Amino acid sequence: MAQEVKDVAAETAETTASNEKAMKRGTVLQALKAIAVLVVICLVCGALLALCNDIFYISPEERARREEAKINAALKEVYPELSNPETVTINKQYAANAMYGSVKKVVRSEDGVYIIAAEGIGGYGGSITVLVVIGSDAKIINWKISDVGGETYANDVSKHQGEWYIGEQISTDIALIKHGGATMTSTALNNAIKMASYYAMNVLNLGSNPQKDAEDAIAALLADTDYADYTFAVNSDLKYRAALSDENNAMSYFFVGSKEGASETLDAYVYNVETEAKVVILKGNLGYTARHEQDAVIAKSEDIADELVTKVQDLNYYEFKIHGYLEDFRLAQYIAITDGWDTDDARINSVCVGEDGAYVVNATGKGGFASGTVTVNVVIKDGVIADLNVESHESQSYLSDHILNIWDTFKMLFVSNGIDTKFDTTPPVDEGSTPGHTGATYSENAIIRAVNYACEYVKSLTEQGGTN
Amino acid sequence: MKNRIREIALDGTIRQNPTFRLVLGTCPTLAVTTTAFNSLGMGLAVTFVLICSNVIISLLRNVIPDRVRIPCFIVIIATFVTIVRMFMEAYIPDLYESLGVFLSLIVVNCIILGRAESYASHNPVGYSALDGLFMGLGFTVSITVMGIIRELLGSASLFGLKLWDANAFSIPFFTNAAGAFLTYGLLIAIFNVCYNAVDRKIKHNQHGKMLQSVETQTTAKEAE
Amino acid sequence: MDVLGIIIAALFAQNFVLVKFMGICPFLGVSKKPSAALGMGLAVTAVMVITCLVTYPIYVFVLLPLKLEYLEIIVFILIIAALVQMLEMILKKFSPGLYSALGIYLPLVTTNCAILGVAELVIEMTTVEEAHFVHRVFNTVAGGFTDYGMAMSLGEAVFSGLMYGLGFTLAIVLLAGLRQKVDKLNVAKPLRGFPMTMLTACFMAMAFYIFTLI
Repeated sequence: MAQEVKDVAAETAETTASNEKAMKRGTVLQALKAIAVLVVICLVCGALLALCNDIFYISPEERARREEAKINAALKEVYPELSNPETVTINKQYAANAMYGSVKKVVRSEDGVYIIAAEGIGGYGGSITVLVVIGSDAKIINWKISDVGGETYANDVSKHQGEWYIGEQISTDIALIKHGGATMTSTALNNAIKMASYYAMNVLNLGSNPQKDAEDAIAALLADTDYADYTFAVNSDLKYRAALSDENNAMSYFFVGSKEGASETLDAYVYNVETEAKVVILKGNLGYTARHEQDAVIAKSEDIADELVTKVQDLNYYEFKIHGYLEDFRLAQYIAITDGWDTDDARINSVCVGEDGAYVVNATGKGGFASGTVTVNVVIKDGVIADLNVESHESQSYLSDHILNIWDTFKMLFVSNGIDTKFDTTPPVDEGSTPGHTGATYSENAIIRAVNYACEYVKSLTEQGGTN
Repeated sequence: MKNRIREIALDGTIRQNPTFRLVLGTCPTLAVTTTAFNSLGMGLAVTFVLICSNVIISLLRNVIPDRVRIPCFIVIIATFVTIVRMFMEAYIPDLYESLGVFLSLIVVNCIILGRAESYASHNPVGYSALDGLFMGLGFTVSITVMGIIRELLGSASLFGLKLWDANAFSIPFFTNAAGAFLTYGLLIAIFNVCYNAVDRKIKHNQHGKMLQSVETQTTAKEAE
Repeated sequence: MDVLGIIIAALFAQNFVLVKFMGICPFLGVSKKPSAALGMGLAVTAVMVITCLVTYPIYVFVLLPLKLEYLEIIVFILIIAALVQMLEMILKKFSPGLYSALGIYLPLVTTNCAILGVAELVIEMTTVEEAHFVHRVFNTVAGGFTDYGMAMSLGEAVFSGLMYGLGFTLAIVLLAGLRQKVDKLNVAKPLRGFPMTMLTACFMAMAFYIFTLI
């Protein structure tokens, strides 16, 4: 066989060689004739094909009908009880998700069962399309890979369509089932199932709906006068709202964040401090994005999510702590810290105003040259220090423990003093110098600096806008 | 003349069986033989193209200048392949989809260009058509046999009909790429054994002269 | 561009020869010596890259807008034949060394279905993706020139061509290496030659099957 191919090749080579010779000899006419024959043959063949193309023309309607028949056959196969299938208009808002894929078709059977054709991303040759049957009890009844895309071995995975996922509650956290290490295909399948679940939960009101639940929870919290709703603009394109709850005697936060970018919007992000659950919900504003661009978008979305988590933790950690220590504290307002409240000696972390007009200032003070900081919450009510507690300390001196032991006595040094008071720091322990109040000079100094700074801050606030 | 037709028929189907003797057109042989139906469809498509291209090339054999003959042949073959493709898409869409890209790849099937080059370009129309027919039949029968074997063993069915429960007995290996190579290799070996046995018998009976040439060819092949 | 995905797919999981069954003829025919196999593989790779580079724009910017998709096979095969001829002439003129190494394999490449196969595959991917993203008018290369949604860019097409070519080279060189030993084995007469080569390929295909499970 190879011999024959080689012969053909050799002859072709010979032809080329003889071509050149012929050209040199000047038999241009012959060459022209050859080209003319080739051109004529090409033209005739082209015309013949054009004719055949008309004869075998498949009209767009016919194509659509075939497609429809194929889809119906596939639907029937995946859900034999299908009756009066009705194609549901797709809600564009939820039809695509950067992490899972997209929904291509939704069909509702008479008995309330939905079949969703979802495309899952994450395969080798692209994406695979899976028909997912979801019952009215929000459980997966069956699934079938309908289009393997470029996945040659999706067939291997579809062998398991009788066992995997079936009977599971729809969720976007459905676990990935690895098939003998066939990660890519399994991932695409898993994403398709997740995409169908995501759509069913958000649009078809099946099962739990994390986003809706979160929104409801937040709405309920906001209705509750005990808790504050506050909106922060972290920067121009990142905004979020937060609400605080102590339902079941446990503290939780709910956040709804949104970040608008050039082509994508992260619409919701829910973070619950208590359970440490973070639910990232991306609404379908990604539109139809090419596969190679989706990766970038996902990466970006994850960045945004992380950014939100960081901000959430940074900004609200302190309120959380305050709430833990002042049980009757009712937050009225959160005051954004203006720049410049950060010196070598101390800094203001956050300031909250309670409903009774008390300020809770979270300040960190530094303890001289030895290292270590102490963070305190200072409660200032009506211009007087009402309470004080140590939230955390970094001091490496063992003496700070000593301070904590005698805290109730120690804090009395500050409590009941007005905010105009300036507490003096003790000079570093030198030979012959007087020890401070406790002997723990550095820790003590850190606390004193923090309290001084907190008082200064509240003073500046009252001077600016007048207190209540 | 009768003799010549017999020669052509024997050459095409047995002595120069494109699949098992010449080992030509291997790509579709391995790729589409997962089911018998696909194999048959592919075989018939190739046969059609082979007959048509042989006829046209034979008709034009005195018109086409030698130096542009390969491009001309390719264009003619490609035209018929496109026609087959259009036909299948319009009337047998299932087969069209399962043959996929291999339908277009009939263009570069060495059998077709090989026959155009070695037979149709030197022989009259009638014989060229017959050559195309028998070569095509040889190819069709061979790959259908292979398709039957792979479908039976691999998915326990024949021409799409379920014969027994695939879970009870089937060897999915045969539907895989490796299974294709194995089946093809063994079939070539079996065909060689049968062919040589029959060949020896005929030679013994007739002291057949003409088969000698084939024998030399075989040895040449084996040497290669 | 999903570079790693394309590389793994083209070299192993969707290896042109051992998984997709394209280019079997040279795979069996030109695999007696590793050096010849390497030459063939590189010739195929070179032609594949150029083919992708040329056929993709022609399909997207000429055939699709003019609704001449049915001429696809003729146009592609002619382009490939012409490209091979041109490549041969260019190599002969400018790089005689390379020509002597690859030249004799080039004419064989025209009738190698791997080349037409890669052109068709790239086009198929393009149109399949287009069907998926039918609602979108998304212009990549074209920048407003055409309304067809192209999920696979020219860069991806050419890169796929290169990688599929290297996958072919890998398979054929490996087979040639194995045949150095296998051809010397003393096996039953009917198994000699092609059957043994097929059986060797069978084991290679089994090995490559593992990659599809990654």
